[in-house]
Amino acid sequence: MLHSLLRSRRTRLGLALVGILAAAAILAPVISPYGPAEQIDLLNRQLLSPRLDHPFGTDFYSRDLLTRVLYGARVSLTIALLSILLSVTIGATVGLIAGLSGNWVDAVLMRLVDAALAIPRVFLILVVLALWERVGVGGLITVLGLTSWFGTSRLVRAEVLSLRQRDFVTAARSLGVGTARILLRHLMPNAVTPVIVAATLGMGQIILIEAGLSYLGVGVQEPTASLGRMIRDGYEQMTNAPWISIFPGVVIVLTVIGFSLVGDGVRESVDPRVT
Amino acid sequence: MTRFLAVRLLQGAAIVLLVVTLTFVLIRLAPGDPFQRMVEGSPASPQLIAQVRERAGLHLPIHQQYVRYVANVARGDLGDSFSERRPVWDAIRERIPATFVLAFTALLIDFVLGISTGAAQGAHPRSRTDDALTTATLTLYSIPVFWLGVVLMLLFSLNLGWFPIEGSKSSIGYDQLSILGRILDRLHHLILPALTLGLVGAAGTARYQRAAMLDAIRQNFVRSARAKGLTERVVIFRHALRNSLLPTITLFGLSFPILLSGSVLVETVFGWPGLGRFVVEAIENRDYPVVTGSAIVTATVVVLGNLLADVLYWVADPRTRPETWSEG
Repeated sequence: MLHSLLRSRRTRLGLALVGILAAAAILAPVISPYGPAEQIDLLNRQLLSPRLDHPFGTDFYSRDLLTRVLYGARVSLTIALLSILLSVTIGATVGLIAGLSGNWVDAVLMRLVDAALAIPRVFLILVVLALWERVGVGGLITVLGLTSWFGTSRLVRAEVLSLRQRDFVTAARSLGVGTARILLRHLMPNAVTPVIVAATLGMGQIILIEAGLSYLGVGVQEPTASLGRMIRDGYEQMTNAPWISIFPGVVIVLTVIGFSLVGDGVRESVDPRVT
Repeated sequence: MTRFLAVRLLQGAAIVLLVVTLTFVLIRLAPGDPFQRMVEGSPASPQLIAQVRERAGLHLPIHQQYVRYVANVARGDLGDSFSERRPVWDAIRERIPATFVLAFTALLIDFVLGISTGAAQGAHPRSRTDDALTTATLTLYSIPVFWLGVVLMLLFSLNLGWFPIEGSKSSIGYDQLSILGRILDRLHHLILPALTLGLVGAAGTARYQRAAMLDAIRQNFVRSARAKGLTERVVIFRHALRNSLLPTITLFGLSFPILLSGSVLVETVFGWPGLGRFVVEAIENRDYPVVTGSAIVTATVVVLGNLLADVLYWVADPRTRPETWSEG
């Protein structure tokens, strides 16, 4: 599968984008000589436009914006990764339970998922954030994870429903293999591909949502800088220092494109029919 | 048709009831009781607070509170806004027209642009145009909608001065305008926010429509149409495109939640006086009844949107009729 995955030029581009951005985020302290909150020279280096020693320019507090973008990407990627892990775990579990039980449990779970999907996602998250008030980064990850698993649970359920009819499951059953073992050894490995696709595409979506929430001022709070938070901070300097808001946005776009390309690539390598 | 509608309406009502239940559970799960925040810092006497609590039914057992809550929502009572000191529904109702105009215009841009782009791509897959448009839609699809708004505003409002910076109408001199002038003024304010919201949606629609078109083009009836010697034009437009539009009706239903979520951000960027910006302000004012009320209202809109998509599908595709209502 890895071989056919790497054959597509678009997928390779996606992997390269994600890889480079992730590496730059992880290596931020090595790459940049400045700290993310370091006010380098308030007198002489305020609101500099991009130039050689500050490729992304500086902000009102003379902080180096490339450094802040790298650290911001770190925060955004970490939040997205942990939320997706949480959401995929819940989604896969609920999907497996619903698909395997197939009786009233399935009906109840899927109607609940229908209801949750009916609330526009941002509104659902805003309800939670309004009720719990200022949550930290950990709280934000929990909220994002808990509100993102509905689609995955449907995918896994559909996959389980189709898999449990297949001959290899019937064969295993007739050999007297128990439900738990069928679940672990036969259903889970086969249902894993749609989960990987959903998780990769979900990474991009979560990054977009977190950026939106932080832009609205209800996501990541000062002094932590996420990419969305930085766009919000640059908003007031829009006319005289547009680069403050532009660079974090470009990095978000590149990251999300990367995850979309990889997600599409994984899907195509499994099911070439789609495109 | 009547039976189909009745079944679908009933299912929709059940989903709305579940949504209301969900908000009730969330309110009860949240730390502190619902009135603590309202009275925090206010000079109200303990007796008055106890009175308010009693009137809100907070002394009742939880299942009775739930029944009360559902009954209130069913009567259109979504609670009182803390910051506006009036019923939430009254405050929400005033903001709905602005959001409706914005979302409707965006939906129009979304579908006209998305369907034509996707259909053009699907008609000639893997051509140079297809590749270029795939890259374009993928990029657009990956842009945070609020950032696109900020960039478009920087470009067209701040630098070029073509469009106003914020609001849904001019704050000065609007009342002196003629009716035509007022309409033009509002359109002038509407273009950028609607374009922002519509463009991002169009990218998704194009991706979907391309796949639907590809699917249609591979069908046997398209091959027969070509074999009959029909011109490529007729084959593409009459046969392939018309059939590929069917699944797009489903997309119409799906686009409601995405539009409403996007409108929260776009309204905030452009200072558009709609429901989305109201909700964000409510969070800043710690006015949670407005937020839960809006969630219930938007969920109802989404359910109605799906119902509308179902009805459209019923009208457009006779094949789905017998199964659709017996499926349950």
